[in-house]
Amino acid sequence: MECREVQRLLWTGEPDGGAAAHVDTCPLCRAEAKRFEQLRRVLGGLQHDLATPPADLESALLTLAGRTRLRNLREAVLHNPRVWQGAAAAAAAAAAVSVLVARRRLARPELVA
Amino acid sequence: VSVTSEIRLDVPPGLVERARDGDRAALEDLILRSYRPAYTLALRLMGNPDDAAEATQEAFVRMVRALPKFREPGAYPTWIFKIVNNVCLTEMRRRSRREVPMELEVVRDPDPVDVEELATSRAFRVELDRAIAALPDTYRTVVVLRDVYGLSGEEAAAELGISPGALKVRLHRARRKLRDALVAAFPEWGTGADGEKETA
Repeated sequence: MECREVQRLLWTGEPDGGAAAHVDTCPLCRAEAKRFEQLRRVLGGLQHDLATPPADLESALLTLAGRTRLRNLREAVLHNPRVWQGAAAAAAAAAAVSVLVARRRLARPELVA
Repeated sequence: VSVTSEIRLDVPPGLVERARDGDRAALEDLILRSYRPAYTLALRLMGNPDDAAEATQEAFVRMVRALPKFREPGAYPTWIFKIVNNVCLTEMRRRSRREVPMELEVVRDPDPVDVEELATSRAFRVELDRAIAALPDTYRTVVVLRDVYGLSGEEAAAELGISPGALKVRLHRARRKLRDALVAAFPEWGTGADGEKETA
């Protein structure tokens, strides 16, 4: 197996048995395998390095989140059947009270005047 | 297991539930605890700060919108990173990338004294970050998902909507480009372990 093919396999991360055997006997490919492992290790470690966000990102996120939360609450109210039933009951009660008041006034004309 | 489940966010028990149930302070706390790692993922995927900030905002709006129906508080880290990932990949399909240098804060060890330590040095990681940011989108997303965040080949291929075979090809090319960039920046790293010069 030639070094070029072995190194191609090394960088796929899936060297076969032949490549592994070659690496054992070839110092150049062994060094390349080592570079690959080092690079993989450092790449994996990057996950723990946090970037510094723009200064205004935090406040922008909180503002957006606040608006979205209010929108959620509004929609929750609008789509909640209990709220609608409550509103309907309140409207019915108000209508009933209006009718009663109107009847009383009609029964006592001096109140209308 | 997805990479995102390996990401540790400092989220105290009950915080997600309180945020979900409408507690404003809990929601703000949840965002403050998670936005920086989320922004970092966006920056690594998109390669420039402006796009990353925009994607992070979009991701958190989607998160807050969906939060009332979120029923797995323990999976919050996986969830928010998945949202960020989706937003970034969708945006990248829509727009061309602007070349702006990445700004990463790296807080670790001092400068190296030999080649063995070089690969763990701050300078090496900074150069690697630059090299990742300079990759074409198709290579950068593959190497970030697969090698930085540890997704399996199948998971990364599924996220990117490509075949496992295409993923392997892109990954191989991306790694080689990173290798070449690092060798250019640190010629001593391209030297064979026994002192011989590399021949690739």
